[in-house]
Amino acid sequence: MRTDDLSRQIVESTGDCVKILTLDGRIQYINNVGLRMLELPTAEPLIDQPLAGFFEGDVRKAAEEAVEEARGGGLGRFQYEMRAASGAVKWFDAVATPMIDEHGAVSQLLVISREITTRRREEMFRAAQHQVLEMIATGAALPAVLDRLVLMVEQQTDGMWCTVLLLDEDGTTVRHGAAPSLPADYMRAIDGLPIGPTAGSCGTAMHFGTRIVVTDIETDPLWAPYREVALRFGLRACWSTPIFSPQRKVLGSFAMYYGQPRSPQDDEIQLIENGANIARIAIEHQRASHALKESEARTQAILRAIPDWMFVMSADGVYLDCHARDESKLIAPPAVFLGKNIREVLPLSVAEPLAQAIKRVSGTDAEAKVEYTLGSDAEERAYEACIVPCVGDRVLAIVRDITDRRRAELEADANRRELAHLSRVAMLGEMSGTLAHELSQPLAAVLSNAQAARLMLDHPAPDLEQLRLTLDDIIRNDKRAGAVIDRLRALLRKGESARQPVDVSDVVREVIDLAVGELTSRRINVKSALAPAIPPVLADRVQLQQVLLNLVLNACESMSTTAIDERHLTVRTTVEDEVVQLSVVDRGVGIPDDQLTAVFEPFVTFREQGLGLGLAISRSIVLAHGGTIVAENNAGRGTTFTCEFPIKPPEQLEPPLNGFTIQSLALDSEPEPRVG
Amino acid sequence: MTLAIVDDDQDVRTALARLLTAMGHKVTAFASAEDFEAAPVVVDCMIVDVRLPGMNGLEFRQKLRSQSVRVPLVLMTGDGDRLDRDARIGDTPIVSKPFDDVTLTAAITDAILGAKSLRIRHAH
Repeated sequence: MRTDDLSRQIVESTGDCVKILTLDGRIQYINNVGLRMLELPTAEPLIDQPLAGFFEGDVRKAAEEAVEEARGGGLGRFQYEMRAASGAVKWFDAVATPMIDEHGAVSQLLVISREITTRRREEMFRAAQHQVLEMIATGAALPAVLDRLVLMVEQQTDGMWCTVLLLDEDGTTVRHGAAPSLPADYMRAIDGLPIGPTAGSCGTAMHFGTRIVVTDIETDPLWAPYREVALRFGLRACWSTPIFSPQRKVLGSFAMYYGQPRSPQDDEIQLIENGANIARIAIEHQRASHALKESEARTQAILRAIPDWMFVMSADGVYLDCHARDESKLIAPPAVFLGKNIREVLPLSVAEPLAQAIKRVSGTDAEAKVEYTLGSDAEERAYEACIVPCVGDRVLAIVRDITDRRRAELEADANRRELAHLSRVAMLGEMSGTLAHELSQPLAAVLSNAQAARLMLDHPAPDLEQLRLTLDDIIRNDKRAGAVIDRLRALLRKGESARQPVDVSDVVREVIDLAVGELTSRRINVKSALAPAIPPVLADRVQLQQVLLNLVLNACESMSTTAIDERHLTVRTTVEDEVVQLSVVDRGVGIPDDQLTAVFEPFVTFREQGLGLGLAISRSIVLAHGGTIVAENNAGRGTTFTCEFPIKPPEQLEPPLNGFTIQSLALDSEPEPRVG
Repeated sequence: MTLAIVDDDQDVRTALARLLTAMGHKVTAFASAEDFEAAPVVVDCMIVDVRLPGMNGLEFRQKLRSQSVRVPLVLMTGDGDRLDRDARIGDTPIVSKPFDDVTLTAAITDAILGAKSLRIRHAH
């Protein structure tokens, strides 16, 4: 008996369920631990019942086999789930072994069942979690993922239902997420409700961004507005936790419902947080992939709209990818050049500078612009490639067809030249009196000298020295007349504009030479203040002369009512901060302050005569040289016009077209245009 | 004859003086009307450029006439457009540059005769 007591004590002190079966598998004994596990007060209902009879299907078969095994002297094993009296499902791992009597025969069977519910649930949870995450990763639709998630969590506790609610982008409206086990009618009733400080468990949790545990829906004030509907569907307890984005933005809620009033255990809180966490991953992932799709669609839309071609190229110039709205305009279809080096695709004269630019830009944050032409003669097209660094050491070359722009630039340039020429002709026409004077002076000297020489020869003893001096003067004055004609010819010439290094002070001297007659006849005292050693500016000499002549003649005109002894004109050159300044200072009538910019507009003039084109043309010339021109009234009297020209020319000298449609002017202005 | 030339262009001044000297005249040359006023000489005729720095030829003539100085004057112009060729202002003939010795002699004669006739008219 002592042995019996001892063994009973051992049997009762284990945490396992211990059963003793007859050889044919009927239960003869079950320890108290076993009874507690099954939530039974006595062993009565079990005694004499075949163990395998408690199971069905595969489990029953496994139990019978295990019993058989033990009866044969071996060790049988099977796993089973049991519903406890409360309804809770528990998992067990059972081991069946033979009990040997003193004769060495198998007399009874011992079955020891260990509850493995926790381990089993953990395994199942892990597997389910893995499955859900896999669904997320493979891009399954969000409702399917959330449904699976909810089912997974519900498996962990009996009599518990879960929901995932989503918070609308508006931040206030509740949207259905997943609730596969709750009545659809209840979920429909919730969908579209606003969150708030007393909006059930979920609405309140989302509103405050904190976990809300309602242990009894019937009494909790948070449920006041929705109590009826919840109770109608038999819901009594609801614990809800908000789902946050990584930026702590509320995305939705994860909730557990129970049919009885109930407060959560630690492991249940853990479970709810776990569910919320996976829901967060699912929602985030969906939103991110949604955003990615949207951004891709946007990028595609932009790409479709952009007429530029884009080439992704490796650092050593191999075409890796290409985007072209109209591939037929490319010199070859992408299939032909992708994977090839630019040197194999484009003529070397074009490929080389491009390849160098690519190398220069690759892996930096610099960018490069290369202009080039392809094709020949009428088929020739001009391109501009903007090369920017891309991923890694790759670069992106954005290529634009600038043929039309080029043509427009050339046309505008030609128009501006044409107009500038007309304006020069007009200006010289205005000066024709003084210019004739310039020419007639040397001619008069030549004629007088020649006649004097002939008279000297008539003398019986001609003074040969005088004769030589006279002939020298004839030669000199003839050259002087030639120089006047050369200057005029240069100004009247129509030709291409040619940029060359020009000393602005030289231009001043030339223009004053040209205008000296005009200045003299207008009784204007001209003074030039020229900076020594001016760095040359890259300019069209004739056009600069034109600008200055226009300013000088305007100054003359503005001083026609100035007292004679106050008619001073100063032309000044200075060098300052990389620019050469050219100023013309008069003491004339000045310009109304509010018109100081308007004078550069076409057809604006303060002179009685004139179309008002001179300054507009001057400005277009100055701008084409990368310079500026401004008018300011002097403190005392008159106006100062100042032009600035960059010493270092800008990379590109774009013809300025701002507000000045040269085309229409050039074509329509037949009447004699005058300086303005 | 004694003549005075007023022209700011040195080449013209020298050439004209040379020509008139070769023609047998006695010539004094000035670069401006102001220069002449600073050192006036008595001459039979003055040959004055219209376009001069400072006081121009027309103003100089006006000044002389307003002071009742009746010295014969010939005006020279290099600006054919503004004053008609072979035109005259009152008693003063105008010659356009370039001009030859015949034209100049005719103008000088014209000026002297014109001045005389004016004087004769005044005398009566």
